[in-house]
Amino acid sequence: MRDLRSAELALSLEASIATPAPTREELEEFFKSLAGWDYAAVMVEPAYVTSSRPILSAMGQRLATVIGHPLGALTTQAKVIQAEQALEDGADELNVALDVSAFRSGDYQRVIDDLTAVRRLADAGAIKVIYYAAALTDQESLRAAELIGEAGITFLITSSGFQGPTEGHQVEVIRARYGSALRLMAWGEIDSRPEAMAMLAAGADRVATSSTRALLGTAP
Amino acid sequence: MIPPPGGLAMDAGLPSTPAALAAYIDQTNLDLGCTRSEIRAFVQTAVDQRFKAVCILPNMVPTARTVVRGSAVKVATVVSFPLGADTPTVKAAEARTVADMGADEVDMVIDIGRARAGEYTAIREEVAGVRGALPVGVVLKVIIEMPLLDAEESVDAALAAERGGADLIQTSTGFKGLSLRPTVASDIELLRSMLKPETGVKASGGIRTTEDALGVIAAGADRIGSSRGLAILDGLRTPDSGQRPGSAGPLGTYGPVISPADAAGDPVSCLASGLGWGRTPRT
Repeated sequence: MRDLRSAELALSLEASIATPAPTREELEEFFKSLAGWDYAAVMVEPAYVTSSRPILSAMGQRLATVIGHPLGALTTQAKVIQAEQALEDGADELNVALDVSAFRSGDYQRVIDDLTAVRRLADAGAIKVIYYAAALTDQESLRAAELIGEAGITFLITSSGFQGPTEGHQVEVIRARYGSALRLMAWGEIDSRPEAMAMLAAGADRVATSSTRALLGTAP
Repeated sequence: MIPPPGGLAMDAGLPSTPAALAAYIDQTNLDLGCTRSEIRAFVQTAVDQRFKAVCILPNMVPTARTVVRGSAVKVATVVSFPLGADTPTVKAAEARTVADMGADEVDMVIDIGRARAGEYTAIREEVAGVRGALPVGVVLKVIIEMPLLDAEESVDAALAAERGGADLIQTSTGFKGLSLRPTVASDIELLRSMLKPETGVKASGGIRTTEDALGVIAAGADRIGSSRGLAILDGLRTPDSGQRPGSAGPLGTYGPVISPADAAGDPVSCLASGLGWGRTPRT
């Protein structure tokens, strides 16, 4: 794959802050550091959606947040409440964690019902599902993709960002089976331009990163 | 420098038997992706060892509830874990859902970013919101994530949580993406010196050995959260004091027996690849 111009690459990035538990001030500094390019979305944690919304709107950026993140272990009822609040607060996209315990327990109906309850709250295009590729075999990843599809969702995310590096192979497995029928975001320790380009080459539509400056260089 | 457990255990007030030490411990499994049968086995072991509580993820509360039936072991779970970055409304709602399912104890994480920004009124209010959502009698522990705060911020966050209605203040999530260091005895001494006597202190995050456990108890901890409860009890086991699950017979020696945590029962990870805790914090 040819190297993209930074402006093109930015359109494939979902940008998040690297600082753990940021203050609002640190988050605003981070938003300033994003200026100069348009991104696929900017990701913030649920507590920061309300305060981030006007800033990101003024910058013309979409706002994504996380539901049931990073362990996927909330009850369905809690996920629904969290998602409702995030949408009400102004989130454009929800990155929802799959109940990987139910999945590994073989309780597939529960996995579907859990996701369906959240998907009903928003346009299908606004929901992406974290399926924890690094915790699953290829076969299990494909099964997870199938269940996510049954819940009416067509945008997958490899990882919560906490399960180590995402690998190109994880993207290729899904891409080979589903072609363009599914969209896919790679998330997990993608901190350099070559790493991001490798994910896109493997077939990712989007890359989540908290190293936007390292990926894009200095703003024009 | 902490003396060896044999010496420490002689000190007045410190637990000197596995059973006495188990009464301090929330045996914890917050790993990503454990199956229901893995959690059932984990909770059964905790019941056999008479830990104070098991601490498991919210979607495992009903499973844990059925296993502890008839025992004194409490079911603890987490709210807004591990990042704490939920709105107060969502935290309160999460707390209500786990209490409805039968949680006896709730370990909630504060909005750490707000504590770092000095917004302690917000901390008090979010804790009060969760307190208000819980039925009377449910124990509320509030995790302030001391590894991300300095001493002054830790004290102010702890006092805000106490005013909000916390029963215990808890030091850390132990989540590697956040917790840059383990909990140490001086963390406990700091909290103990500032909190009311009736407010408890729970040490969690990197408490993995008998020495670690007795060290934080000596510093004033009322409770310990650890995924290594069995290994912690090992240091006090004698031929008469009860066995580790899975061991073939009485241990041959008195005194501390330090075994690998994964030799017989402490869950190292439910996922073969050892996933669950990763390197890099995100969002």
